Amino acid sequence: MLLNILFTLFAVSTALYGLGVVLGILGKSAPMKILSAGGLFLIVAGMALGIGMMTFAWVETGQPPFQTLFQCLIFFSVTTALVFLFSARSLPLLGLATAAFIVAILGYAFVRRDTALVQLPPALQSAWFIPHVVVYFLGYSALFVSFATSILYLIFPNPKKLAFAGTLGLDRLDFGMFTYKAILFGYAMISAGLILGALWAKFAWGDWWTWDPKENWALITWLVYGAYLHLRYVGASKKALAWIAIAGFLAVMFTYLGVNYLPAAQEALHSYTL
Amino acid sequence: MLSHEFSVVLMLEIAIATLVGTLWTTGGVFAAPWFISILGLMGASSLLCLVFNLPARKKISYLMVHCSVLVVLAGSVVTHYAKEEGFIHILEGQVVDEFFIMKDGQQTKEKGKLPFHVRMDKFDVEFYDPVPMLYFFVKGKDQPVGSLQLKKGEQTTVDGVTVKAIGLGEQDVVPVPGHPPVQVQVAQFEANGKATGLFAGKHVLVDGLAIMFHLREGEPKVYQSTLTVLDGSGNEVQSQKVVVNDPLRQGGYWFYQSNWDPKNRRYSGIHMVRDPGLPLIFLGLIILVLGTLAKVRIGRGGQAER
Repeated sequence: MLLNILFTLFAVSTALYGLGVVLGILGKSAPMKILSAGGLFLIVAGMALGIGMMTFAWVETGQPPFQTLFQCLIFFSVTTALVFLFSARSLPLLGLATAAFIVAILGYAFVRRDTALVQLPPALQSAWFIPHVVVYFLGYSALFVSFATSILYLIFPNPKKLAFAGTLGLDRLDFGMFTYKAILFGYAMISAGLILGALWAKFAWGDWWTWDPKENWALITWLVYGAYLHLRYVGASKKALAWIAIAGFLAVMFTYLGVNYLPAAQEALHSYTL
Repeated sequence: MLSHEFSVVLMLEIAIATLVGTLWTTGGVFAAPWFISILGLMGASSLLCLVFNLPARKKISYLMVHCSVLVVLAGSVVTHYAKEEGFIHILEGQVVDEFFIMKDGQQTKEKGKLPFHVRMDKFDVEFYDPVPMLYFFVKGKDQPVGSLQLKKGEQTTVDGVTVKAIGLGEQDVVPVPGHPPVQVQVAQFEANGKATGLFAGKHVLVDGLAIMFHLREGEPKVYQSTLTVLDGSGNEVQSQKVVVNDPLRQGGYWFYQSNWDPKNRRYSGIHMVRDPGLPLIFLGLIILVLGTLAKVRIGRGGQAER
């Protein structure tokens, strides 16, 4: 029931932002602003509801609300909304991308819904659990922003020259720099997530790194963004960088959701939920 | 500049090799000399980045991130040559100073010796509460064709019968005539709209579907070994309740709660690791995170950094 409301909030937000963007492209600034404000309001409302759902689950079970894939996806939608609010709330195009992505996340939560309360295995009863999960999702959300801005760059390589640049706020935006800053933050977060996971693994299993499929993909993701930062330094083209940022986020999504489908992951240490 | 391009090539090589190692696990990619060589080249590349680019960059974050790679790799070399890993099978009351040596994560028949003794005082397992479950059976099949957790709001349809969980109730039952009643748990649910109550272990037939109520044993919540370290003279050095996530540490040796035997509750399996490279590795990882965070702080200034 609550998931239905949450999904509806972000779906309507997507529609409002989508309509607003279309009107913005047509040069109708005033209605675009009203629709975007509505979309923004619904993102805030959805984020508040998501936090409420998680708080309720925490109080009800007495355990952190990251036990099931379903709960983690709710949290992912909350962090994605949060990162958008802090980084790009004045940009309707990114509002549209964020709301649509959250709809996709929640749609997946619908499909893979698993509300049964898992009895937390001993390895997950750790002080490292919450910070490890929180920083990773914050990182993933920031890297989603870099993914969205990279796609926008490929669609609008010269946004300032567009007739509707002023209406949609593109005249004061450098997609390349936006992507870079989102990646810097996301990279710091996934690095922190990696080390928190390594410390946790040392205390739980005796090894800080076990070449577990999840760890391997976290490393692959980290290396792809490392390559992005080095290539940016040596002056690679903005187009190439945009494609790497896109590839990086696809690696993020595979690390989070795809790895569990690998045959090698069935016996892996990170296989708690599928 | 060239050192950065070299780094990118190495990063992509490691990423591809890791991908291959994840998809085909039997190849032993991560212990292969060629893979370790690439990691070594990564260290060399980080050093080149520092030597050739640092004067121009003068960025603390740049220095930290590239140094961190070197420190982690140095720690890994120490680990590779000096790490000891073993397994101790121990019963309550037993004192040991030996362990089975582990190689590549597998226990061997070879034995190693600890510089002190370890005594296992007590082993306990704590379980979560049992989970009330309904199981569904149809004629001709031994295994249940479905199940439902007895939690309000849960619902399922099996073989044309819709079952809605109401919850767990209690009912007074007189087990022996003349004796006081005892409270017994009762599963309460609706089967095709008809309210039904069922004692644990009993079943009811609804339109050809047998519904059975069973309290499924809770999963283990805590495994706990109380270990005491003894010196050569038998004096107690320290004692600790060792649980998953909270190993006992003594003189560089870490002891982990790792195994148990449901058939012998006095047994505990203890995983032992001594890894002298660990401090360096964690130092490197902490420098790495601080370096990336420092970059974020600088990046927020808004200037283009190249």
